[in-house]
Amino acid sequence: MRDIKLAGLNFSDEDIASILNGSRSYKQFLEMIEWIREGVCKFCPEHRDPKLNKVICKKGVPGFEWVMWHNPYSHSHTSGHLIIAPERHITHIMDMTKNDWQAIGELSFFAMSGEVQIDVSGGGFVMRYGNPARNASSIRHLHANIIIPDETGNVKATLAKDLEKIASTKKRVRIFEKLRQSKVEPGDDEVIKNILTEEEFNHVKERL
Amino acid sequence: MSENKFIDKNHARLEDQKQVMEQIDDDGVCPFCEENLAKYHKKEIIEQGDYWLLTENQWPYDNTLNHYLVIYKEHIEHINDLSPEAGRELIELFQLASKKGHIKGGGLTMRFGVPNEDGNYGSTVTHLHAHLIEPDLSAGEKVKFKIGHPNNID
Repeated sequence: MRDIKLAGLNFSDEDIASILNGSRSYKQFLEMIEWIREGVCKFCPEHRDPKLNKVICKKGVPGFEWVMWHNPYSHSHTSGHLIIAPERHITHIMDMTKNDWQAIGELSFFAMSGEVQIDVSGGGFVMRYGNPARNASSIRHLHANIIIPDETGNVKATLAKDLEKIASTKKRVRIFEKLRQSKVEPGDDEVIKNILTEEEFNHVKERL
Repeated sequence: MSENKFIDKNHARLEDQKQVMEQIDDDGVCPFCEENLAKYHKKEIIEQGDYWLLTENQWPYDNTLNHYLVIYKEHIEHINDLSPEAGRELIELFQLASKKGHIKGGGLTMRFGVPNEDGNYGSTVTHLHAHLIEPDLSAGEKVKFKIGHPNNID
């Protein structure tokens, strides 16, 4: 991660890994930098966006509650994608206690009850943890995904990216950093075209 | 598709795995039920709990440093059938494996349910089991966990 330099920011390797994993657009890149700089975790209740991540259920004993919401960025070929996350900020399964699974179990039962209006007769449970360079996650706050495929196409959870994908992502983030240094706002394509080379612009034009 | 409802041979990746799956298909049994496990699974059982057992995947995914399996001892296929106590033990076994493997980060994954007679969510074995996967970043290859694929009726 040392080959990615963000001017004026003393971010850790894990922070940089999160930015690489989560910066699908220039806007997201800027947002992630601000969140990390301000110590904001978007899955902690005080910073969670109630419109984007609208909690539909909360379970667990006091101090160990977990909440559930519909993922607004669900995968293709899925009929449902639920996120469940602890209210307290933990990042590793070693931080979990028996009370955490109690809450996960209660939320799973809630999901299966039909109240979430998706068919959860089968699918996948995926929870990434630890160093984001080793799990391809953008949000370090521990969370689990319940993903329900609709049988129209392949659904796969990424745990690691290949070198080609990593190189492409690093190139994109370096271009985003060039724009950040030029203090360009997202969406200002005309200004951006004047700052980037044609090759750079073509690499990120769908993500501005 | 397999004649044996407990497995889906289509998801076997390696040649020796396919041979074992053929044998399981012929035997018509669930390979993860306790009475059958030793016949097909040749890895050491690292830990026995009340509900689960911890072992290594006999056929780890490509480009992984660690790939453990946690197998439920009774034959169930859905997380709906897990008790909170079984869930607690699952986490404890994951933590044990994470410590044993010095795992810095990775994924806990589990497929559940069987969608219909001809579909599958990517499992080779339908008996509920969970994976603990640590990618090998030095390999420079992607690591993905299959959850669903197109219904093969069509």
